[in-house]
Amino acid sequence: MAREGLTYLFLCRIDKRKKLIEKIRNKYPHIKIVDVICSGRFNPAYAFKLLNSGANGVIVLGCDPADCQYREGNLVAERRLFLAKKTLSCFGLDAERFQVIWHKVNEVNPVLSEISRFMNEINIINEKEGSMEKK
Amino acid sequence: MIVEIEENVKKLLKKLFKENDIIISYRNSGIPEITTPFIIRSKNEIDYISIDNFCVNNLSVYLSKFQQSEIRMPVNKGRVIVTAKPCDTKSIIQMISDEQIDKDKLILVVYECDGIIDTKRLKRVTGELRQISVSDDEVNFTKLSGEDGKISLHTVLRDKCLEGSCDVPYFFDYYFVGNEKRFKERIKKRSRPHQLPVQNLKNKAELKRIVEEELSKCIRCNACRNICPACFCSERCIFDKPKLPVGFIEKEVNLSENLLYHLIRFYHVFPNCTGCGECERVCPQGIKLSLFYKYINEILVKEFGFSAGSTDSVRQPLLSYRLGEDLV
Repeated sequence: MAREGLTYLFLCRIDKRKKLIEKIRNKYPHIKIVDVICSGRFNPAYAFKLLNSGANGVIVLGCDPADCQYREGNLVAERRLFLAKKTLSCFGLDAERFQVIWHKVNEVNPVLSEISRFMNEINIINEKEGSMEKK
Repeated sequence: MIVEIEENVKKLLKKLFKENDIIISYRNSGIPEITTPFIIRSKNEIDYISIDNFCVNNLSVYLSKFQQSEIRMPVNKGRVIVTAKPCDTKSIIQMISDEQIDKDKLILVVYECDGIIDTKRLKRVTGELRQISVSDDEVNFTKLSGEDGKISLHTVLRDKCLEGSCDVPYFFDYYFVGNEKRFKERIKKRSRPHQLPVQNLKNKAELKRIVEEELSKCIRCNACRNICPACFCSERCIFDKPKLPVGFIEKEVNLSENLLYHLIRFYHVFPNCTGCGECERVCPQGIKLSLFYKYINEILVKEFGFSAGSTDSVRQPLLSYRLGEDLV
C-alpha cells in the first residue's frame, strides 16, 4: 500500500514551531508533517483512514491548555482524541499507533524524545505482528 | 400488550388531535406478525392504530429524517404527536438534547410495554402464520396449515427486552401504566445477568478475529445509517459525496473499506447512541453491531458519567470539556 511505513504528524503551524518542524524533518525523513488549523480541527476520521490504509502511526501535536491561539481548540480536542483511541481499541486495532503529545509551544527536546519513544514502540508492535503473520 | 392501554391511547389521541397535527404511531400491516409505522393526518384514521407486541420500529427516526421536510416548522403548522415505548423515548430525549427536535412542538405519549417479540426468532419456531394473539405470558398462534400452537412469551422476546433496560423515561407528556406491580414482576423475571462486552477479552487476536468475521459480512447497503436516530446529518453525510473527485471512502466492498466505514460511522454516532438496537435489526447480513456500542457506552458512563437519552439538559461529552481531565 502507498502509505506503508510512513508516520503522519498533525500539528497546528504557528511561527514558534518552526525550529521543531525543521528538527523533525532532519531527524525522521519517514514522518510526514501535515498542517491542520488547530488540534481541535483534527478529525479522527483522518487517523482511521491513514491507519486503515497501512500507515505506521499517527501523531497529533497539541498545545498546552493556555497556549491555544483559538482559546479552546485544544481543550475540545482532548476528549475527541481520547474517544478516538477507544474506538480503535474497540474494533480490535492497535490504539498505540495513535499518539497525542501535549507540549509547551517553545519546547523542542521533550517533543523529540516523545517521538523517538513512540517510534520505538511502533517498531516493537511491527515486529510482533510480523512474527504473528509468519506463524 | 394490555388491551386497555391501546384503547386509552386512542381515546387520548382523539382528544388531543387538532387540525394540521401529525400523529406518528403503528398500524397492523395485514400480515399478522408485522406492525408498521403509521403517519396520521386526519382524525378518522386514529381508529386504525394498533399497539401490540410487534411494534419493533423506533419511531424517533421519523421525527428527524424521513419526513423531515414535512414535519419541520415552516411546512407543518401543527404539532407532532408520537406514541412511544419507554426504550424509544430515550432516543427522542437524546434528539431534543442535540437540538434536532423542537420540544414545544412535540407531544410524547408513552405507554408501558411488556416486551417486543423478535419476529425472526418467532418464525424459526413456528414458520409462516395465519393468526397470532398474545395474552399475558402466552403466545397463541395458528399456522398456515391450520395447526394451533402455544408458546411462552419469554422465549421469543428480543434480546434487548430480556436485558430489562426499560426505565421510566426522563421526560414525557402522557404516560400510560398498565398494572404496575405485575409489570415489575415481569421485568424481574425477564432480566438476565449483565454480559461483559467482548472488548474486555484479554486476548487481542481473538477480538480481532471476531470483528473481522462480523465486518466481512457487510455489504455496505447503508441500512444501519439510514435507520439510526442518532445519525442525523442526512444531506451532508461523509459517505455520499459524489461531487468530490476522490471520496473519503471507496465504494468497493472489502474488509478494509468495511472496517473504515464502520469506524467512521461508529465514531460519529456513539456519543448519541442510546442502544436502541435498530441498526442490528435492519441489517440484512445480521451483523452484531451492538457488540461495539455496548463497550463504548460503558466507557462513556465510566469516564464522563454520561448515558445518552437519560436527560435532555446535559449535552453529549464531545460538545463540552472540563479543565484538567488528563485523558490522553
